[in-house]
Amino acid sequence: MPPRCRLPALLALAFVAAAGCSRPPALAVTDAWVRPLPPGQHMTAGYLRVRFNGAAGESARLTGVESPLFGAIELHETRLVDGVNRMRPVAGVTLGAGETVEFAPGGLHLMLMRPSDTARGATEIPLVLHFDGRDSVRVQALVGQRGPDGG
Amino acid sequence: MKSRYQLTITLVLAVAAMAAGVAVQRGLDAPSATAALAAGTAIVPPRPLTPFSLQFGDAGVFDKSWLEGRHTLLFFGFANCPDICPTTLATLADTVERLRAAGSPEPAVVFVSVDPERDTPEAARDYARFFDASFHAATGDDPALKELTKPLGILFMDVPLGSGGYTVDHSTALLLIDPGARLAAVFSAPHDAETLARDLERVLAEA
Repeated sequence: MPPRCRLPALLALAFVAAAGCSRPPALAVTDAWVRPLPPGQHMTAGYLRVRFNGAAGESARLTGVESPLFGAIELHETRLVDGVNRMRPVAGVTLGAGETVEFAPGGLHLMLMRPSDTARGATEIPLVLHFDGRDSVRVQALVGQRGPDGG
Repeated sequence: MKSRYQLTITLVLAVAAMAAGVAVQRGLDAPSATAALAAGTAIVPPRPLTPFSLQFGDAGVFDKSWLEGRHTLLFFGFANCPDICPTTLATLADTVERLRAAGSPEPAVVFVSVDPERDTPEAARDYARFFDASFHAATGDDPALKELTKPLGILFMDVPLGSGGYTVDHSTALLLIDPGARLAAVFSAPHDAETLARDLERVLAEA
């Protein structure tokens, strides 16, 4: 390399290194899974864990979820009131800095509706989680049956 | 001093009374499997069901006579239920698997759909069988369902959803019916397969 280019090259390398430097993502979505579609049914539930690694005072609000394999996905919450199951839609979920929210059986869950033909036999469901004023997060949800503790 | 005759009678009665006392005490102390349920509450004495008639997914009639001679677990839900119903049916499938693995008799499982508008008996059967091939399913119109659910304290009601559809709020208790078609135990949510299997193993072994 000509001597003239060495410093700019080094600086460029430094910038690239700094940009690629791993920093924990503000939003981490893990352990996403979806129950398989029962025969003849057009709706199933999805679960996952979301963690917001923001600075103190910051918050993140999950407002919706989409998937190329389902026509519509809604956020719902199961509530057991005196032994009676009540499922209600949820407009959004806000996470404070350092907070983890679990979508798990018996609580918050995704209701995945209008499955495409491919959805029925899929072993993984791609999900896109939308947050207010933030980049969406993409995740692959594994299809399978799990117990009430998600295990 | 009383006559020897009277003394003998007194002694015999005293011994008999003591023996009876011991027997009663033993009976009271004896642990009853159904009274010691970990996952639910035993109904003592078991409560006879009132008559009802629903339709099984495979076109048989589900009524009191079907319940006689076997233990049955009843679960009330609907197929368009994304969370609680699949979770409970998956737990029930896990439960019967554990009983089978332990070589224990298993109860019949009947999923009763409280959403006959959307769940035909056949659709309910296919739904239930998805979780375990042995599961039965039945449904009927609202009045027919209420004949079964009301006396058992099971509630269900349609609730509109903003998206234009509706959900069905429903009781989540699992009901154990004994071979005399009587309510023998109630298992409340949340349900755990391991605990449920242990309780059922004891109850069915005792029967």
